This record gives sequence, C-alpha cells and structure tokens, in this order.
Amino acid sequence: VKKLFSLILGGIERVRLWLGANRDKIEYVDGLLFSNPVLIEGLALAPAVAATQSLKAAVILSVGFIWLVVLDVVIVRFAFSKASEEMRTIACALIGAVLFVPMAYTLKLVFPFLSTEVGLYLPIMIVDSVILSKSELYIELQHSNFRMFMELLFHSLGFILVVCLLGAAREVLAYGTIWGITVNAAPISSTVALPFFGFFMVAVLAAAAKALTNHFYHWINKRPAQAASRQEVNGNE
Amino acid sequence: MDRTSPLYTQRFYPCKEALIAMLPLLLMSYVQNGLRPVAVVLFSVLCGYLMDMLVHRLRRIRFEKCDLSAAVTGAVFAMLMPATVPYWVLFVGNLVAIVFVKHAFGGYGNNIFNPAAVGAAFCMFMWPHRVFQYPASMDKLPLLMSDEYQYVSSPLATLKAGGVPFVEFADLLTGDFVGPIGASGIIIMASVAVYLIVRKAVDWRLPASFLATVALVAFFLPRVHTTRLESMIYELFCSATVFGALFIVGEPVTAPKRPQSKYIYGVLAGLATMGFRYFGAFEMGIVFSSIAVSAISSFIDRRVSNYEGRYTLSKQVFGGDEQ
Repeated sequence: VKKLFSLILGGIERVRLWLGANRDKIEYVDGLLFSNPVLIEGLALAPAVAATQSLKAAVILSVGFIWLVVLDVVIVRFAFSKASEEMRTIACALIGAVLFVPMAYTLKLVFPFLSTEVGLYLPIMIVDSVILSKSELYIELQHSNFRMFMELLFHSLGFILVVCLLGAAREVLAYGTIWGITVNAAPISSTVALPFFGFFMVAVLAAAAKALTNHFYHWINKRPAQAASRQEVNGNE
Repeated sequence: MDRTSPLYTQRFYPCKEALIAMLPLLLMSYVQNGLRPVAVVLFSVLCGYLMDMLVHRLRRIRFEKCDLSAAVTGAVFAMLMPATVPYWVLFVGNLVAIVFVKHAFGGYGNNIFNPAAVGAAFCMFMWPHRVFQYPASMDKLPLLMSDEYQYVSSPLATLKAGGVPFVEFADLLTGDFVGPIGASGIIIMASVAVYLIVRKAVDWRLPASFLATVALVAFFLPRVHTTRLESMIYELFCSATVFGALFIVGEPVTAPKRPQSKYIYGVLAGLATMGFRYFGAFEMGIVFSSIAVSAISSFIDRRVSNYEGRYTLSKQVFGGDEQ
C-alpha cells in the first residue's frame, strides 16, 4: 500500500512538473475554467445571468453560442482579416444576423416556446462582446488555425458548462424540476429564477473559479520539495 | 491600522454602543411576544459572530474578540425581521451579510453596503411570505413556531394596499402595534436615538435629515386618504423607519464622512425610501434605499469636497482682493 501510495504521489508530481514546464503548449484548454468566458473574462454575462432560469433555456443558449459565436468568429477570421477594424465590427453583426435566422427556425421546431424560454437573450448574442473580442484577438495574435479551433472549442465548452450548471441549479432550486421533470418536491423559492439570483450565483461561481485558478497556478509553479530543501541546505552552508 | 495601537480597539466603539442601544428594543419585544424575539435576536447575533470568526480564519486574518461588528450586523438584521421568522432564514441572511457583503469587500470598515441591509433584502426577495408576516401584538410566541399559526399583516402593508391602518396614537407611543422586532414605540425609539447621539455612536445629521425627508414627503404627498399629519405619523412610526434611520442610515462605515455630505445622504435615503414604499413591490423600503444610496456615498463625499475646495479658493481670492 505504501509503495502504491508513493507511486501515485510520484505520478502526480510528474504531472505537476510537466504542467509547469509545458503550460504554454496547452494554454488553449484554459477556456474551460482558467480563462472561462463567463466566470473569468466576464463576457456574455447578460444571457448567462438573465436567461439561465432552466436547463432547457441553458441548452438553447449553448446551441446559440456554438452556432452564432463560433461560426461568426471563424468566418470573420478567414474572410475579413484584411479589413479595417470598423468594417470587421459591422461584418460581425451582419454575419451574426444572417446566421441567426436559420438557427431560430431550427430551434423553434425543437423548442416551440423558444421566446418564452430565452426571450431577447438569444438574438442579443448577435452583437455579443465575446464575438468581437475573440475575432479581434485571433486576427491580431495570428494564432494557427489549429490553436484557434481548439481555443474556440474549449471556450464554447466553458460557456456551456457554466450556463448548464446555472440553468440546472436554478431550475431545481426555483421549481424543483430538471428539464421539466420533478426531482425535488420542496423548491427553495421561485425568486431563484429572477436575474438577481443569477448575478448572485455567477458571482459565487466566479469567485470559486478565480480561487481555483490561483491555487492551480501556485501548485504547478511550486518548486519540487527535494530541490527546495537541497537549495536551502546549500544556502545555509 | 496598526493592531498593536490602543486606538485599534476604538474602531469597534460604535458597535458596542449600538448593541447596548438595542437592549431596550429587545426588552420591549419580550414584553410583546415573549421569549421568541429574544431567541431570534440572540441566535442571529451568535450566527453573525461565529461566521465572522470562521471567515477571519479562512482568510488567515487574526480575529479580535472585541470586534463586535458582526454581532451588530446579526442584531440589526434580526431586528428587521418578524418575531416569527424561521431560524434558518436568519442563518442564510447572516451568511449573505457576513460572507458576501462584509468580507467580499475586505471586512469591517471596507464594506460599501450595509451587510445587515443586504442580508435582509436578500431574505425579503427570497422568502417574502416568511419575512412580511407578523405575529399579533401581545401574542406570546413559542420558541419553535408551528405551521398553523395565524399571522397578521403590518400597518405598513395596509398603507401599501391603499388602506388606513387602525393604530391609535397611544399605541404608537408605547409600541403596541404589529411590525418587525425593531419597530418599537416613539418613547423607546426617542430614548435610543438620544443615547446613540449623546454617546457619539451615530452622527445626528444622518437620521435627522433622513427622518425629515420621510416626514415631508409623507406630509405633502400622502398615499392614502387621510389627513396629512396622520399620513406623516403612520409613515414615520408604524414600522422600523426610526430604527432604520439610526442603525442602517446612521451606520458610520457606509455613510459619507463630511458633515454636508451627510445631509445630502440622509435626504437621498429618505427620498429613495419613500420611492420604494410608494412604487416598490415590498412594504419595507429602507433596506433597498440604503443599498441604493450607500453605493454613491463616496461620490457624494467627493462632490462635496470639490465644491468646498472651490468655494474656499474663491473666498480666499475675492476676500484677499477686498482687503
């Protein structure tokens, strides 16, 4: 058992050292948590706060995010990288509006009460700051296509994770249901579905994500225990 | 501030005074509803104090035993609640007040909003049916409430519904009316106000300007069909308005620091309170108005400071010319 335990600890230490040395190579994964678009970067806050009163609404927002934001950023990156910044802004909005129409029709087939679920917060994504900031970032930094796709993928996953978590938690707490199915006969309060509580939950999650990020960076940048003690001994000598 | 300095513990002087000032209110609530309101306030005080101690430990900051600020937060929060409020509501309210309002901004002396007001506002939003239902006056309550208990609405709720509350002036004097634990009679509230002002725990400018504004608005713009004077009396004394003026608006941390700013702050808080009462969803406006106005407290201070600086400069320039 002792051997197994030391083996596990050694493995964790190796992973930690590898992460510390190769941090920049896997930076694109950060969108999931360490640079989460909602919790850390503060982008797309309005839909995440106001429109996540149920899991269904969260799923609709997630589909909207992938379709509108990811596609819009990719199109702008490839087709408008040479255009001026002002033109790119206009292009972002126009492409978003064009992309929104087929998505709205498709979503309406699956979710007939689309406007009741998410209200204005789905169409408002057309002009969301996340599109502009990401497209400008990728054009300016000249990332490789692979890195851009990976970053967009993990940022989308980060957004989906947060909104679905918020949607599910708020639905259970407000109505005692999840995806419309009763799971808790005594919900806390229907006020949980109001935007005020959404702000509250996002704030708590953002604080937790920030604390986790700080701890993670501190952990991977820590000196190995043996080396540190050796250095101290040398210093004392 | 240096923790070894003897001045350090003096920071908590207003907290001690506030707790002492709340004792007569607690005694009155005991006379009215028995041991239950006393248990509610003590539980809330204990919750606040222990939670503060825990958060200090989590933040790796030394906790001073003489730091009674969290106990005051717990007491003020409980005083804004009815005597029938469940204990778990008190726990949640204190959690919000201490963790999310006090320590999230850096602890005592750094908070932008009044922690007790935010805790109360949170509970009012979340469980209005628990917070706005009161026991009848002189009804002795058990320590653990049952679901069958018959609640009554407060005079402020009657005013909100457009009716005239049936409360006699003598009852307003003695505090024999339905309301939160902190809503007491004029005599008791006046003695509490005098104590706090004489002991310099509260600057008189804040409650005075606040109460004057509430009285003027109620007098000139009554919301029910009654005489102007009656409207003023009901708005001032039928709820925890005076309590809020002393313990929420008059709180030294969130209020502005300059004397002129305090007048402006009190007037704005009074106007906002009446605005929330007249047009808001809930009968109690003071917690929401204090949150709204304390957000611009330092802005008021800055504007007044700029104005004073300009005024002094022009006085020096023109005064010098005349001489």
